Amino acid sequence: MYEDLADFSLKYLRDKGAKYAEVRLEESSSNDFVLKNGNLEVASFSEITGLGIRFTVNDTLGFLNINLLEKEKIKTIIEKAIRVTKNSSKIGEKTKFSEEKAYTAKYAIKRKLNENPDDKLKKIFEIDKIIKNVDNRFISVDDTLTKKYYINSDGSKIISEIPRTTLFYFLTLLHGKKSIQRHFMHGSTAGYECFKDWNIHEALAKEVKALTDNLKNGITIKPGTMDLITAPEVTGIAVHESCGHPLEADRILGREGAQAGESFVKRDMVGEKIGSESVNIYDDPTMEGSYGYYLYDDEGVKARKKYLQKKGIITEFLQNRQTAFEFNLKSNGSARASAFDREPLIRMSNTLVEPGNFSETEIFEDVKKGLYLKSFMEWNIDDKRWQQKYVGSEAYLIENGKITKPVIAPVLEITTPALWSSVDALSKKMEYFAGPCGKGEPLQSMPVYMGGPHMRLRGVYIR
Amino acid sequence: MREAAEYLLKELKKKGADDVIIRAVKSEGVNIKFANNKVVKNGLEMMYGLGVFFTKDKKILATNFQDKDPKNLKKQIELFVNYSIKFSSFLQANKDYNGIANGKFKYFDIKDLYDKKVESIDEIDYVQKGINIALKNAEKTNGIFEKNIENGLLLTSNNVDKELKGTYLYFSIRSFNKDGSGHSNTCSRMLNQLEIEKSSEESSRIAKLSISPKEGESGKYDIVFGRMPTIVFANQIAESCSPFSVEAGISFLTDKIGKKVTSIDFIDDGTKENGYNSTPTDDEGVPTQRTSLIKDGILKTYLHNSSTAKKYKTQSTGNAGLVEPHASNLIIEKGKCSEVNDLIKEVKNGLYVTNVWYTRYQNYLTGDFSTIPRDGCFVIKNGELKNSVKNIRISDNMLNIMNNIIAISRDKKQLKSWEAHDPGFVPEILVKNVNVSKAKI
Repeated sequence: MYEDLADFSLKYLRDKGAKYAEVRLEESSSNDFVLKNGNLEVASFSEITGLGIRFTVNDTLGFLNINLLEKEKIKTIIEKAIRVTKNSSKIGEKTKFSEEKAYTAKYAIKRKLNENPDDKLKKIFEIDKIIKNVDNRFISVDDTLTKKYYINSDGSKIISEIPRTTLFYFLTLLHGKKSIQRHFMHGSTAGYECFKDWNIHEALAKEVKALTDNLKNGITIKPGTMDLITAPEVTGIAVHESCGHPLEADRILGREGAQAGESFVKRDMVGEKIGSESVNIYDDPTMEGSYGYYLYDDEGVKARKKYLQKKGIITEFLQNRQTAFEFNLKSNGSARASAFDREPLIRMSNTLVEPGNFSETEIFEDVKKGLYLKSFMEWNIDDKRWQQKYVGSEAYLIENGKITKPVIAPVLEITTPALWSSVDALSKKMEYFAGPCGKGEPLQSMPVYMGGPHMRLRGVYIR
Repeated sequence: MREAAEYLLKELKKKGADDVIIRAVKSEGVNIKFANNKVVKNGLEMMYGLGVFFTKDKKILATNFQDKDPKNLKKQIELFVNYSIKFSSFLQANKDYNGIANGKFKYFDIKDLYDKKVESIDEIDYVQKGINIALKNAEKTNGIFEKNIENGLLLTSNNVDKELKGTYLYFSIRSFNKDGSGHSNTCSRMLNQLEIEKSSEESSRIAKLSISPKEGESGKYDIVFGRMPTIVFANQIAESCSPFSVEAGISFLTDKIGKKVTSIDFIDDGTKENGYNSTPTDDEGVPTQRTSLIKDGILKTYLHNSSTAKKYKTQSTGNAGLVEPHASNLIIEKGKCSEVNDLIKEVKNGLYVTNVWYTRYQNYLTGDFSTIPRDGCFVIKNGELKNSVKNIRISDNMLNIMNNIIAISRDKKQLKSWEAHDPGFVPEILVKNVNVSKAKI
């Protein structure tokens, strides 16, 4: 690591007149493997170290990133960045940060299993064997270790070490002229030991069986209003897209309006009801092993669990230090950057629907005719997070409380309040799903968990 | 840069690598983000890296070398090469790999790829100009101005040695007026061809026109797509032209070579003057070219590097990336050309969609997808623009969209976007009979 360069950068910025400054030194190393139809297309390893630096001069925000690890180069870019930022202050937003406690902390998640590439590949080829009869397939596996040294002018010094491992697969099954596709991603804050936790062999075998059944025997559903049960995967994407994103305070204040968009939620909507009494939603980065795990955010603020909705009422927005100042609050530790070359933005971590008191049997038994949406393929939502679409991958008809027939690509297209107001029962068991969340320009892809229990929605339109 | 690249190449060959590509890039950039009419971030970057691709016994490794200690460059490279060779020994051969191109090649100069003026511009002036123009019609603007200056070097084990230099400019502005909004992008290699004024005017004009949108209705519509959605569709088509996509089952153009898929010409052109992705050479040293991917509506070829071209018994199209082929500049041409207002005049019952986002597929192989109109979206009745609408979704099939293009506008504009990484020169297009859905509650 190059801590001396980070320390030097912070001091140099202050000497040059920065009122506030923070430096993130990141050293990231990764291995990637891509298999296509059983053939190892490419393998790669990557090691990159760089500095991401944020500061204010004349109350205007500047950011720079550099991977040339030489003092003279760093001095040059800092001086230039200060010049550009001062020049922009004539039309610059007055940037103020909430006052936060300064922390000195060190934390690390240690990989229990970090094998050589040969052993990693053996594991990946074993997985490929399970799906060798699938018509088209590709698998991509990535493991990354990020060491971070964060300091700011308030006196924080936070050292962290976080490994993440992901496995993504894409399957295409053919039957005559028909086809069905499915992609899915596993992800954990861990080393290759997480392969065991993911139970991939069994899960993949089940997945292929279900897709085959759907492809060969699936029926199309007669459009109409009916009850819907979403499995945790679908609960997860819905909570992420229509509850997490609209409660990001930077969207609400319009800072991300150009690309990621704004929000139907306005700044005075804390306390407003947008879901049913059954709905409690939280975001918690402190869950060990979770894909969205961290203990301190990229502004040095201590992470904590925060409730976004309680009993369907908005309770809290996701905040960073800038937005917290605007709302006259403290940050709730939601600022993250995808790498040293990106500015921290407000991001979800692990956004989840809290479980309820129903068993899964109880959730189903009360549905006379409805749909069970177990997994999804196509989805999207507008940039204010008002109306969304989820199309089933694995889905079934429910008749008299029982799953009867597979259904091909049923569509739920619904507004956010209608979706969350329709929820009347939640099961006890939680499940978590990893995914990359995109935001910002330049784009930043951030690891998150989405999830929750089975959810029952009454009287929604399905086609 | 040259010293590091040459020593890397030499050491990799010495340790037994067969094919080697080194792509070194030094870049300096500025990105200014603005929101609510104010600059909210002044970003600067200074980056240097060497992309490394090599094969040994058909085992492929892609990696990167970072010079972390310039005083000990050779020692670092030797350690890096030893580790890389050891890493590659664990791999399995890629049975589809057929080698990289053999040089030497003759490269032609492409006009307007580097503009010295870009080095010394005051970025804030350009941002302020864009905001001020937009504020004539809008209340609020958000967006980004990016500039990048790159110096590069491509070296391969097969007699390629080419220095590269380029400037890159990108401006994106989204304007808001009450509940209306509009978005317009521009990108260029040359300062005098970056259309900040036009984009700012366009985004704010759409914002003003789209105030008080009504709820849209589901149904079948003839749709005039603006350039922002058209570049998204062009990117989807280009993705489907990648052999990787075809073999992985994620191309709706699988088994369509030689078949009629649309009425337009679709071109990839790495030699286009001022093209954002124009470059004399692809990533293995093959001179770039203008390739008709679709000619007179018939799919002629996929995008190829030397390795995929051999597998498909064809020629490289000069689209090599370090790992797989990728597009350069996408161009839509031909069809029945008109002014955009003439396209609108042809529509009896339709929509004018100026932007889309969140394009996702239910099935990439069949092309079943949906995407969401955002910003100004207008009803067209009997050839005239009426009110704006909101809360609708295009839920259709990409092959249907391609097949149903019935006219394109005469003027093309260069742009890229958040959803369209590959830049292109695209017109507005008129597509008949597009399915539109909406949430019932």
